[in-house]
Amino acid sequence: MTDYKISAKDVQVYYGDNHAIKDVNVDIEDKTVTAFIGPSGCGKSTFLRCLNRMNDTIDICRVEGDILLDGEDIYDPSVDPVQLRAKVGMVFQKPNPFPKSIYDNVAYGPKIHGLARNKIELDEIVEKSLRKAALWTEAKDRLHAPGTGLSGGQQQRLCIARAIATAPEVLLMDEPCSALDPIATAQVEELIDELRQSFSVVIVTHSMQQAARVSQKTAFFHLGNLVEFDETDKIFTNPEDPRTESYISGRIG
Amino acid sequence: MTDTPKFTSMKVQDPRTKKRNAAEKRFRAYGIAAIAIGGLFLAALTFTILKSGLPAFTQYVMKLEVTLSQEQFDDAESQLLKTAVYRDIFIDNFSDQLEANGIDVNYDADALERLLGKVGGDIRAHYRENLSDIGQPTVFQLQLSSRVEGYFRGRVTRDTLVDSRFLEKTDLDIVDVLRDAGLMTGRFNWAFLTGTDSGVDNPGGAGIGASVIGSFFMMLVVLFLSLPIGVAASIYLEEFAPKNRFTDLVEVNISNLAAVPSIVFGILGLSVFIQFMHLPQSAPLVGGLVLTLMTLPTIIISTRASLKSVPPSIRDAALGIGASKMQSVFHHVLPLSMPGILTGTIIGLAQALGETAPLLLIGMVGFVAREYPDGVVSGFMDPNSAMPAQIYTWAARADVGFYEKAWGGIIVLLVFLLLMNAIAIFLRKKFERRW
Amino acid sequence: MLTIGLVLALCAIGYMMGTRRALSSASGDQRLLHSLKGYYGQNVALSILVPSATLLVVWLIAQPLLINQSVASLFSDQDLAEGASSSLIIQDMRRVANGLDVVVDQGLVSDDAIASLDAESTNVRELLADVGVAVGSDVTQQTLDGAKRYRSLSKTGNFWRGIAVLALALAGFVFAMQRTDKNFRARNVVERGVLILLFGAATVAVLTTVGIVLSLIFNTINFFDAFPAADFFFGTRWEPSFSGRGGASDLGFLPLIWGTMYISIISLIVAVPLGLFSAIYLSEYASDRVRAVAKPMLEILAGIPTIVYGLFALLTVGPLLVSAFGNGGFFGVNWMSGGTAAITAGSVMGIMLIPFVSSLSDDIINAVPQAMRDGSYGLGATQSETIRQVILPAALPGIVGAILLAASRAIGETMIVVLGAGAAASLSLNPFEAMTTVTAKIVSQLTGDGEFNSPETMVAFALGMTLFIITLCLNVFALYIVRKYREQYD
Repeated sequence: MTDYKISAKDVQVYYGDNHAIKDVNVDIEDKTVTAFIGPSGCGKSTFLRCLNRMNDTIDICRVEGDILLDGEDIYDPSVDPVQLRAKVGMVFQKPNPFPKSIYDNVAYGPKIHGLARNKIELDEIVEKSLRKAALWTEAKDRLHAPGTGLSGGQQQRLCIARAIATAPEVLLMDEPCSALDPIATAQVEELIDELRQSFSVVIVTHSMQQAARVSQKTAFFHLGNLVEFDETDKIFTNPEDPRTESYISGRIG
Repeated sequence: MTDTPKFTSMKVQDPRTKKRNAAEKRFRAYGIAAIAIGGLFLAALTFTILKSGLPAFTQYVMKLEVTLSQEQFDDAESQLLKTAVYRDIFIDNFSDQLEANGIDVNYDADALERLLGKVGGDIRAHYRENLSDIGQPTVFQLQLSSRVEGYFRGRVTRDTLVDSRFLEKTDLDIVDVLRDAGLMTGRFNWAFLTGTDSGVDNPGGAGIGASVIGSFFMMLVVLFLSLPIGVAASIYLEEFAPKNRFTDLVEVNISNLAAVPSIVFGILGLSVFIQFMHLPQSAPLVGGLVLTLMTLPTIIISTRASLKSVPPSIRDAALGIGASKMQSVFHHVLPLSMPGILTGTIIGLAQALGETAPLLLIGMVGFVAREYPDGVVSGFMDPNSAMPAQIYTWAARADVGFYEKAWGGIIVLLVFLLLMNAIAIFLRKKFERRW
Repeated sequence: MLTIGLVLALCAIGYMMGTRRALSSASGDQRLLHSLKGYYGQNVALSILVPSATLLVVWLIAQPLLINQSVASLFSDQDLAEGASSSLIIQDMRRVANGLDVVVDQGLVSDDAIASLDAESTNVRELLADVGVAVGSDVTQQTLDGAKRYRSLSKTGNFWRGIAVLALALAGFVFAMQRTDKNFRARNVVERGVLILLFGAATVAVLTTVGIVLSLIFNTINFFDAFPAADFFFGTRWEPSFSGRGGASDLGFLPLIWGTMYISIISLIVAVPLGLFSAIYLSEYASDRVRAVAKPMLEILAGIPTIVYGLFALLTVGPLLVSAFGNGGFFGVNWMSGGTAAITAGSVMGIMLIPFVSSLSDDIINAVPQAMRDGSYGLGATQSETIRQVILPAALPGIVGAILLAASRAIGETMIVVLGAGAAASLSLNPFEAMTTVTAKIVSQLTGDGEFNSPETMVAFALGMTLFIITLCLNVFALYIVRKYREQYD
């Protein structure tokens, strides 16, 4: 077993004929927040979706290279993507609660993975997840109201609660705050910092301030290449690559 | 769950995952099965139609060369029972021919009548119309009676046959011998395509031709009414209609009319066109009017879709150089959406062509397709049937011989429908435009 | 015919003269005209055509009504008391009148001689039979008088109709020509006219509905005059007596609606799972290639005329089911005695409905946003879990709408039940028994040889009315649900 939670080696991603990700090598540590930054279309979201094989749902997408989770290649043919995704959860750009009640949204994952033996355990998991997502106080009186009735920020926290209810080891977040207002964003960022206690978080973000605020490690992507990957402080204060510097100072992107 | 999870390999499926994946496979199999059942049914339907319908296109005849001299003709015409004389002449020729072929079989006049019907009348009719054939050897192709035809097709067998005045078991011996000698054979049944409906006891003589003409006149009515009205209504609703309650009413109306059962349109046709306006019953004109009202919603819906697909920039461009709204629609939008409109119209017509229920109510069933119309006006106004109504008429008759005709009629109907749909697909492919 | 020809000719002349007159008013210089020269011609042509065509249509509808009224005044209330209804007598008269027309056409009797015809000295029935017009009973003097009156009125009416239409066409011609001048805003006037025509076309849909409702209502009221409504709606027996045989009919509605519902439910039991699973497979699993084959294949099922399904039910499925469930059949259960049964019609109708359920459900499932699927896959759900627990609940309202539309289709379907379900009305629970439906009885009551005004025939309108109301409610409700659903994800 390696020291890293996830390590990606020479990852290539193709969309049909388009070479979207080139030779990416990244090691993600346990219990840290890793941020992927870069201009639009640089491949950071694509790479994120490789980490739990969400790209499988797109027919023309092809992934080469190794991505190891706890030393096991997740693209090995014998790996069940369903089991993988139970370990590597995901939160999306736009809040996408299911058209069900708040309770059912959170309970969905534990139910399908059989994490609760009975109703009491399920109730516990739901409460714990909602508490962790800082939604419990707002939602506890309306657990059976539809999840779509919440505000945008609440919806996104519901989606986070839904993701952590399955007890993942890694949580992938694809620009989780881009559809939220500043106050909701602050709440979610605070939440991310707390989640770090339990598992590793990988977050794709457009906002460099956000990356600087929440992450310990930062990777800068440009045109499908991983340009630089280092401690967040170092990237933002003393980048090695000139491209990183010009992006951070606002000259490209 | 905050404690470090213990390592479990993802390469080994835990029992729960196995169960879930099995459920996944089952679910997918249900989907495949559902589609397969649909496909299977389509195949079964096609097979049944072809198997039961194709025989309608063959006809079994007995070929016989007859020579009739002028004296025989004059003599026969002077007799009281003329057809009996002709029958005897026929039998003479028949026995000559058997001898020539070296066939030895017992038969009598009654047996021949059971096999061939009243041949005397057929022969007399032929010579009276073709006087020049007198004295010449003439090959007659005489149609076999429907039960003998059934024997050829396996519908009637020696085991199932009960002797009756229509056919006796011994007659089949004659048939076997003649078939082996090549005197009784099958041939393509042109009469089915060109003929008219026959009496209830003569399924062999029934043809679908007249009702094809009836359908044709109905489709003319539908085309010339529903296309202009449908396009005009669509242009109004899509381009000019103000947003008000009347427009809403029209919209709701159209979508509802598209789902009103066709039989209700039949009731409408019966009471408005026949009871109230006193248009003639069973006339293709009335059928066409009813089908027009039924087809209009379909045409309006598809026309509006193709008007909508013309981008607003085209309209703006025309308006921008000073064309009136009406000009921009008629000069630019309408020509651009014409392929879509035509496709929709053809599909609407195909639907109308296969519609049966309303035609039953306005009387296009029974023996209405007995003759071809004399001209264009009578094509619209004289009682006639239409293909699907004719098929229904045959299916409702007691003689099983008509079932075969009904299936055959379905083949003809489906050929027309396929043709129309093929044209529609061709138009769509050829003129498809992506904006 | 002549009138129409003349009007059209006048239109063509008007178009040319209008164009020419406009040009000459601008001394041949097109640029001086307000509108393009063609518009002046179109204006004249439209001014001729539209008013005269409208008049012609109105006249064609009104004339028979007025004549009927005039003829009806010929017979007294006493005649009516004898049991025949007025419209029946008028129908006879019209038939005789049409027959007389044929007689004159064929030159058997001269037009003048008809006037002196009387029922005592001539057997009018035989006279008509000679020319191939069959009349049900001997023609009485009264009927003959009516027929004569009918003929002469029609003749005058037709004559004046021609005159009036032509006069109006000419008036339109003169009026439009006088207005034609280089400063006349021909384009605006023509466009206004065309807009009115377009509007008129759009109202045809409304008029159709009005026509349906009126024809159903009036005839239904007539029916309830002759037959008690309570017996119709709550009667449990459907046994119409045949005309001429006398005796009262039982025209109970319940067995028919029972058969309709029973057969529709059987068909939905077949169609909903098959259609829904097809839609799910096509929209969620199938590759583009499979979709390109399977989707048109299902749509072919929708394009096959119902008469084909009917024949298939009658001649193939029915006997097949009998050989499985009938006496000495495959299962040896002897449940089924005849091929025409509720299950025969229901199962074939179910197959017909598969594409109705599947294509609309397919659209609706596709409208569920991809984000829902991503959210579920991101949590480690399998595809079937995602479909069952996320997509189907999200698409449920739309799917319910699709099923309701299919149900409305099933209730209104005619040919399959006419051929496949049998004719006996029964309140049975056994699907292997023959049943009949509202639609099948509409057909049999209106195509029978019953008198048009007998309750046995008129009951078809009451049946049609119920059918129309039931399907209308289902359609409105279903379309409403589907529209609301679409708006939600737009």
